[in-house]
Amino acid sequence: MSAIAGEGRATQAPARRDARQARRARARIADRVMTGVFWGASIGVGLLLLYIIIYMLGKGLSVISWDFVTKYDASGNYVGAQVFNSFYMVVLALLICIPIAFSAAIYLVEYARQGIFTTILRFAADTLAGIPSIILGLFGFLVFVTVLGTGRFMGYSRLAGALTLVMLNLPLLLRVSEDALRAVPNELREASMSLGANKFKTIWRVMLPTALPALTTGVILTAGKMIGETAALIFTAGSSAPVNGWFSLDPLYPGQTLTILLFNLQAEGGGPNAVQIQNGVATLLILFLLVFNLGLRYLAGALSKRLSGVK
Amino acid sequence: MAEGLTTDERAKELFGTGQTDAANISAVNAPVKMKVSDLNVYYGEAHAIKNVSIDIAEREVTALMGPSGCGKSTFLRALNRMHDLTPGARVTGNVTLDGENILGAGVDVVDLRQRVGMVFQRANPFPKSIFENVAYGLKIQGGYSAGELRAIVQRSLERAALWDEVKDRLNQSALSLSGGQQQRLCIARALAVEPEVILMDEPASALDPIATLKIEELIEQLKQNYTIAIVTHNLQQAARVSKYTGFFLTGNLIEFGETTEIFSRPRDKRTEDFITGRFG
Repeated sequence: MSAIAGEGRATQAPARRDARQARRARARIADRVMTGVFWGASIGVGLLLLYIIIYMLGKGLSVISWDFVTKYDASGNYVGAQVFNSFYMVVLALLICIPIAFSAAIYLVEYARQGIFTTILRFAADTLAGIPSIILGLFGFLVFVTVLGTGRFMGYSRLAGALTLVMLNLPLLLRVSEDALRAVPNELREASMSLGANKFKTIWRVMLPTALPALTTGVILTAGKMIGETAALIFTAGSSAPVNGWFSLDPLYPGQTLTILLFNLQAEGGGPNAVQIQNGVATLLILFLLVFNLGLRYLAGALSKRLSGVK
Repeated sequence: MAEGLTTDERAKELFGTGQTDAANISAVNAPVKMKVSDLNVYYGEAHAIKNVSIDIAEREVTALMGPSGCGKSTFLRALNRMHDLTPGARVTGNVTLDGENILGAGVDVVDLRQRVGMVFQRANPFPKSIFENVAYGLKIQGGYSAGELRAIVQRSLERAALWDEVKDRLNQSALSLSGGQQQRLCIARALAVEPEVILMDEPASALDPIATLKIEELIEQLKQNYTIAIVTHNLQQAARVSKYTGFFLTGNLIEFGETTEIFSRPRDKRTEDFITGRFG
């Protein structure tokens, strides 16, 4: 305060002026150092990610071919079933997960009386979200594969894997969706009600469309985690993929995914071409994720346009 | 004047906490659209509106003024039961619309809110196109053809004095409009469902003077067809737009009457102090 007030005063003592200049110089240096640190950190992270991606694409792109995905040969250089299983299980798990998570989030935000019950529910969801996936994997093994698998109802299957993925990711999607709905300004809710909309119409026509971009982000995050999941699937989806009829939509087929294949190749060995196949699979996973996310974004964007009437 | 006091405390210090017998000062000499008697609103323990009685005259503008926190918005929101949405809010007393009680449990709130529309302090268009915003109230009712929708949207925008500015971009996002345009869009949105009464909660308080002027001109036109109740803390605005004025202080209705009377010959010392700028 006093330094500012004294600025430009001709009678200022030289000692005070020097002290002030030294203070300013120190502040300037600190500012530059911190700017450098932040810059360095973000560039470092960016370069690291870029390096990993380029490295993997460099190793893997040459392996990927139409034959790599579709054609079975004696050496096992073939991952069509796993690609299909990965896709199939993510879609199946999302189809189960999204309605439950969105409904529960709507209930928590719009209907539930905030109190001990909702607090416990949120705490449980947050805790469940942090449980190591191998634990839920073993739980899924116990419930879906062993108990429900009696009499070969389920066993190691795409369905068992998808259900385990749902358990694993439901808490995250629930919490992200809840935050997305809570972020919709209350004024919009009031505007809708003041025009004679009931609660359901307000949720359906205002809350959900307004929250759509944030909800989409939640789904993409969830899908990413699902695609990458391995530990929870080894004991539920199984380590085998039937080569005959892998394109079958039967949810009770065993469903080795790309990530499980990657694990098996490393853990059990996969013949002379193992490393090459791993490179190819890793690259496929990255491309897969990219296509899936872009696809979801595109769908959400188109939906948003339709709902808002903006052309 | 002592610093650090809230408006309420300052008001109490200046005037004491005397209650007013509002019942005999709230009648109007005109056809009554809405009749409010002995209205009380509580937020949990807080008693926000205390025994307020007001007649709202048909096809006239009734202004509700007072310092911040005096309860005027709370009063307004009781008129289309927006308090139903606030957890912990409780309303007692009587409010009638065309002689029928609207506070009862059996009242169709959806129907009530279509008859008593609302414009909020901050323009709150939906993140939809201009067209979809105005058509919203009709679409949730359902049963309108595309042609009918277009006609009503145009008529509503014309009545809100916005049509000429947006007719070429009805499909653009409402959020691309300026603040004043957004507020007129919200008025058009309220008009589209053909309300009988329009409640306006400080509709111009977030706007610049020119946009404010446009809203006031609009209110002037709208009162030919609609009954309007407007909350404002802007004295000049109350004086310019309204036929009747109520003055609120700490949840009490201090004085109510014809605006010209209130501003030229206030009966209550507190009203006089407020309109002469001694506080608020």
